Amino acid sequence: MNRLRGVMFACFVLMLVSCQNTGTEPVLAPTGETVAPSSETPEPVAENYCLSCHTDKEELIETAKPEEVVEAESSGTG
Amino acid sequence: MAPLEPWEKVLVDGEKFLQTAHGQKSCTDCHGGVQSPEKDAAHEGLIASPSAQPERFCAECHEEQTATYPISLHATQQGYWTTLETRSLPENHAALEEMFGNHCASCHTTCGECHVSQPENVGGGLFTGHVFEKTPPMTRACTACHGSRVGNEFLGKNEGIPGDVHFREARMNCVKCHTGAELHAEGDTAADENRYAGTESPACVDCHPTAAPGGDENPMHQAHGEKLSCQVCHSVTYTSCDGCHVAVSSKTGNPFFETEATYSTFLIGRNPIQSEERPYEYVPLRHVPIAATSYEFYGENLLPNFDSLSTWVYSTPHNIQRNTPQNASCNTCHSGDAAFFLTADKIKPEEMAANASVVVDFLPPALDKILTAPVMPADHAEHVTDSCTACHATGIRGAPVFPADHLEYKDENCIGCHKSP
Repeated sequence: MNRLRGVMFACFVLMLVSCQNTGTEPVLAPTGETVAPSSETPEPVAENYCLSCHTDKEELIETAKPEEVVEAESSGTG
Repeated sequence: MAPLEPWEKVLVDGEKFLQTAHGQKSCTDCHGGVQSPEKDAAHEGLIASPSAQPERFCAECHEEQTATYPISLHATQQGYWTTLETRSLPENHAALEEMFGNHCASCHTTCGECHVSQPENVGGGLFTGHVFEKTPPMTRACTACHGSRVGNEFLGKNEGIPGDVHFREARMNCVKCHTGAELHAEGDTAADENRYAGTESPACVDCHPTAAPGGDENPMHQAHGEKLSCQVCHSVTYTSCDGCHVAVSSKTGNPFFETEATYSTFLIGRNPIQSEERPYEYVPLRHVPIAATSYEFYGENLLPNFDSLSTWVYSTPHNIQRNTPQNASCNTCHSGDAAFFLTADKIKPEEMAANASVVVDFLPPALDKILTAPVMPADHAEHVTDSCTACHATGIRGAPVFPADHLEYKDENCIGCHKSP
């Protein structure tokens, strides 16, 4: 019995909700401006060249500047 | 630490790094440069080490650390200047500044050189694909620079000498004792003059409170707690160096150094920086590689006050052991054997004046002498003078005259044996 009442209550709530926006839309004061339909297209995601190179081991090996071998002139414990 | 290949130094772990807070910023936010597929163009205006300008790149999120870091010793290197200024005169500072710029300034550390890459001084290179490490990796950051003495001692790399018990048995790393707050100089309002300035921190008793004088039943702690630093009994042989000289190569134009000697010692001497914070009368002393002529390439007699600081300096060797050769028995020190003490014969003649304040003139008395020494009369506590010899050298007012073998003792030696009742 309780279950049936629950189902009926749910249907009633659904009915109220489905009816609530059928009234008139709020009227906005005219501004004299017309809103042009958006012609923007989503910007393409810019490529992160830094990351694409610095995560690519082969690319780094290929482009690495050879390090200058500095002759060790110091002697003893530093 | 094996050197990294050039590519290895700049390889970013995209997967891991992008998941971190720093990975949410764009590369150019911190590193400048421009987005370009061409390497040279991309690197135009590159800021390789943004954290060299911490107030610009780090402060926004790490306000507390960046506020004080500029006065920390890692940033100021003030320890060097404290000794250079003490040993020199203002008219020599310009030459010393040139020397410092060529040979010492590269040890300056940025935020990034502890938290994201190996210090430039040791070749640089990202730790873990640009992921920032809250705790600097010990061997790639801390001991990469502090290696030849502290690092080798702590990690047990000196042949025949065990590593520090804190590392060997507890696997403690540097920051367990040297906290971030200490390293960032948090709470400090002025730059320290060197690493031993001010409060003793870290202090052994922070973790071992019962080892403080009166804190436990250990008779050695009771007898020596205020007189000896912990390292006197609990550190072992450590590294000393002699005669570092610096110059600029006529062949390559690069600065270089030559150290005359490196050797192992364990020598106890008088505390050159005795203070309320470090009241110990005796401490282990390490010979630092300074010589009166160390900087002569840059000018003649740049250290005219060379003797105003000792060359055997206050030391806290990082090779702590519970049991050491010197704490094996009382007789190690109380037998007249000078092996563990910095006596005059162990000091170079040209450095005698500099080390006059740290040399051990009198070896600790024999144990039986200490145990049989008469206790000081109770009424001596009321004496207005603490000069024992004032009365006991002459026998004034019926004071017992001390025996002939006490003639070389000074006032401060008396209470070592003649305890208060």
